Amino acid sequence: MRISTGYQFGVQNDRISRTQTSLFEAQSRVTSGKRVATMSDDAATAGRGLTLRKAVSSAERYMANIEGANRDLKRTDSALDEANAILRRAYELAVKGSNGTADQTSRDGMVSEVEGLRKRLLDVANSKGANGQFLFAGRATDTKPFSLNDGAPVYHGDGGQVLVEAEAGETIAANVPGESLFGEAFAALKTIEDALRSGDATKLGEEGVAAAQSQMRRITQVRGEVGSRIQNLEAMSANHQRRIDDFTKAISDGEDVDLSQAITDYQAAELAYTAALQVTSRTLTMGLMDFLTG
Amino acid sequence: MPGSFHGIGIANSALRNIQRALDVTGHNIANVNNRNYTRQTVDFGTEDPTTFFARGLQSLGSGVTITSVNRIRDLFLDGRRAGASADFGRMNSLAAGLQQLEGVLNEPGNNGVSAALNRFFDAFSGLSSNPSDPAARVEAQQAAKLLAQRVRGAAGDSSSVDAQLVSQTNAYAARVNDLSATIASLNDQIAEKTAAGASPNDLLDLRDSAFEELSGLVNAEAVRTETGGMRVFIGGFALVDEGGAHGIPTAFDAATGTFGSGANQVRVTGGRIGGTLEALQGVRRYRADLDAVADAIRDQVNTLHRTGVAPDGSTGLDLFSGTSAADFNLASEVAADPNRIAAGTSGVAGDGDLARAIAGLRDLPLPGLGGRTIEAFYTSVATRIGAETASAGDELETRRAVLDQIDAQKQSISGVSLDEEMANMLQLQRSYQAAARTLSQFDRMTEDLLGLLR
Repeated sequence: MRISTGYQFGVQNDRISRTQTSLFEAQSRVTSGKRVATMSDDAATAGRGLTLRKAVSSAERYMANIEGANRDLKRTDSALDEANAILRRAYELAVKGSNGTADQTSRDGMVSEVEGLRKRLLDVANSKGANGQFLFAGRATDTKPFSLNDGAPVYHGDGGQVLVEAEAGETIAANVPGESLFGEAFAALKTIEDALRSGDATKLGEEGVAAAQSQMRRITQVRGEVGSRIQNLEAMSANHQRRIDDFTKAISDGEDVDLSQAITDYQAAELAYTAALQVTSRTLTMGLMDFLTG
Repeated sequence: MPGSFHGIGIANSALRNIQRALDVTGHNIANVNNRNYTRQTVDFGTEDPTTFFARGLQSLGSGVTITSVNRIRDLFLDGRRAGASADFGRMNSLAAGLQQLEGVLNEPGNNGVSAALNRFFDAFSGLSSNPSDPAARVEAQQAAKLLAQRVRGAAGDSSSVDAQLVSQTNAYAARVNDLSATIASLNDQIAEKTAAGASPNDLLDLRDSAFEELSGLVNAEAVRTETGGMRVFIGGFALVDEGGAHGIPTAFDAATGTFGSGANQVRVTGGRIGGTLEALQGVRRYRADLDAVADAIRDQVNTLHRTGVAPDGSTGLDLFSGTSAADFNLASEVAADPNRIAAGTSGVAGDGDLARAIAGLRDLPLPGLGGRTIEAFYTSVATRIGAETASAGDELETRRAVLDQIDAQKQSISGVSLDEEMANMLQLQRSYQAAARTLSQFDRMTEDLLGLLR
């Protein structure tokens, strides 16, 4: 093949520019750490990356939802613990008051303590969650659920469940509606108070003690149920975390460079570029003119 | 019958013509950097011989003359190059246009529409789970705002790319018309020179280079006439013929790649114009897809949201406004106050059912999106553009290699080689020296003759 001067220069320029481009690309892969920076770098991997990002993003959201629900359920649990303590004290008073050695003066003292317990129970029934929402108002979370009318509880909430999305299409209730739970606890206190006031030791010993016991059992049962909800949520959260880890790794595996590979590629590109420069510097200076004298 | 000074005439013809040949070599060397130059060579021939008597009639040479100055070019390669150049130009424009579109897309990562879609649906899942949390409501508002911004931004950016591709097409079409006028005018000049018997090599170079540029812009074909003229066709449309240049019409339809209408219609399938029009189709298709996404989100979300009751008691409100992707926006009522975002339909503070239904749209196949979910649809759009951009880039490299290879062949035939010209120069120099020596020999002989007479 006949090599024209323009062709010779053109090919050498082209060779330098091509090896320079590869060198630059190899360099930016090393510095950015990205193998897939745009869709066209690897459309299939990048497309899968978008789907995986959606899964990671929603799993993170579900974890945040679960965290909020757990916070509220734990507050609910400690409120119920407090309610249980109140009922235990009422139970103790009922037992003490029904004892033959108790006189009416000491029973009257117990009446004022029961009044105090009722006030404490009212505070517990109106407990708030992290967002200032009432925990026992059902869905009417912005309404104070309980007030007392002459010692009798009045419920202003509803029986609805506050649902938290823990997985796609999967909800778990983050609340315990308080109407019957606290209503009956107040009623138990009322029974004990009335019996203490009237000095009816028998009624105190039977109905009062039984009412306090049955409410304590009920609260324990609800707490058990809340506890198992918390456990379920934590298990789901751990599952989400595992998915996030897996998917994040899959995104990275697909889109990030293998650094040792990238560095090897860079070295190869550097070698090619240096070779192109050397060959060019040698051949460009060669010509018939250099060998003609005169 | 040769005269006494016949030898001086021969030497003189040698000196004169060798000098002309040296001029051609000089012209070649002078144009070594001219990409469009075709190297020229000289054909020498003998002058008409004379006769003399010596045992009969004998023929005696009369020296040398230049029979032609040739242009070393392969017309077959020119034809192949036109097609390769149009293919390269097409892929070059298509790849560049699609790369711009990919820039608009800005995927994968946190800065594209898909990340905003994730944040939007996540925010409504969060709101459904914490309907009484003011922060969750503000996040829902901000996520919706961001989604609207990203969709609007992508629509705006793709419109800019669209406008730029249109003006590029117009500029290319104007250039095609300039070049066709140049070719027509060179046709006239060449015809004039050819008629006078000259070979207008440099004018032919100019015309070939004008056609080479033209073939990069559009799928043009050159047909050379017997009289040395050049006709240029785009498909069946005669761009240049004996009647001169007929410019392509300015109005074009990107979808069909046709310029003009009715009888005066040109369909462009190749070259930079063809590639730009294809890129334009890609941009418009993305734009239509983006409109479909915006419409789907707006219709689905609004239909749900209108049934809701917001914390401030408002009801029947849209969450998004607008009629396409370009004006996709957060409804002004909702933009003004996050408490106009409804999480439920009952008006009860802890009701997050509606927000959950909105979050659930992400997994709902929608008829407006070919039965796919919003995210699956957008992912497929992004993947399609990525794959098209990648294959245009690969194809561009193939086309570049083909064109380079043809150019190499062309250069091999037509390009100036300095080494070769140097060798020519030496040969001519030696010949000139020898011719000069012959002349001085004749001179001395003549001097001797004249000396006898003294």
